[in-house]
Amino acid sequence: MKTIVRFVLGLLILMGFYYISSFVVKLLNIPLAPAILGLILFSFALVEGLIKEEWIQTTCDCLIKNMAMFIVPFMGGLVLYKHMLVKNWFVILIVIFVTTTITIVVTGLFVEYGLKYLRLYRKRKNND
Amino acid sequence: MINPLGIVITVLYYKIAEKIKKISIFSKIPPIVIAGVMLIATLEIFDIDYDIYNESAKYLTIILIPATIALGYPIYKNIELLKKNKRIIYTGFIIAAVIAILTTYVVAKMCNTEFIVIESMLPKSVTAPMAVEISKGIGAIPELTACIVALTGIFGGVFGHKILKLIKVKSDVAIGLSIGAASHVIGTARCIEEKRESQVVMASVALVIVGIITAIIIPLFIYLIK
Repeated sequence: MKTIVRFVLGLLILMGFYYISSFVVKLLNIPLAPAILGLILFSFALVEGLIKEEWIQTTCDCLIKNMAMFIVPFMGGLVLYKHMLVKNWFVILIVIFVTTTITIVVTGLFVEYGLKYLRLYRKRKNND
Repeated sequence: MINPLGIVITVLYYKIAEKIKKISIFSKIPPIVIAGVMLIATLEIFDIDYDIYNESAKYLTIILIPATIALGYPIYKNIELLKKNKRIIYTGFIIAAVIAILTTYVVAKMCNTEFIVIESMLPKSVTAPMAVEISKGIGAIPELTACIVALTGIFGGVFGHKILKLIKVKSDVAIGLSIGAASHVIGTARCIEEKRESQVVMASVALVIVGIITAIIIPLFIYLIK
């Protein structure tokens, strides 16, 4: 019983952030998905301590754990766009292979050598 | 009155898919793909109209909104990690987001792809709930985006660690960040298998923050090229 109350409370808080964000997005006419703005505001509120961890912990853990399930209906929606997928399957595969590889390689190298350089730099500074 | 059939089928298939994943030969395929294939097969075989199915299942996809916002919680929990080496890490996030968008646009454009398909591909490195929101926001096709996102995740999950090993990237922060940034939840799940805590944490934070950065950049990018 307590868990259900907690879950509902957390959900109300999350939806509250969604409604505030939707309002802001509409008011300022910014091309950002309301859920994303909600995520940004929610993170700030948590870090700043405006929201207590206990209030949302149960809901967040449960939603994140099952997140993939909520995508499945979209996969079913592919039947509507079959022709597009059939027509573009080659491009889609090429794009995924090439761009994902480039992204992983460049980001990986940057962070790896960035951190190494930083460590060296700090060491040198300490020795001076 | 809500017709519960679409919801029941979806949840059931997902739970079955989670069980199938436990069988070793299927362990590399994420449940969302197995469940998706089962669902598509059902709709095709029984000739069920997607709109009829979705009339019920849409109540499930609404939950994506609070689920996306809930991703703020892991950021909050790992905020210390983000404060350490923050310049390198944040630059890494931005590099990953920008490169993923630019290369996708350039490669797709070179292949002469329809604009709506390119638009649907742009958020492909981002976790599906966010990618679907971004796709809706720019007027692309969320269904196509969801499929491409899943494929990107599988590619990153299967090849990510191998690629990084090949180019001798060894630190857990670098591995976690690049895989989480490029192949979202599926890549992150693969990091869990490596049993390196800092890799997992970095990957899960990367997937959220790169998602936010991507969500901000894509609308601007489309505005610029249109």
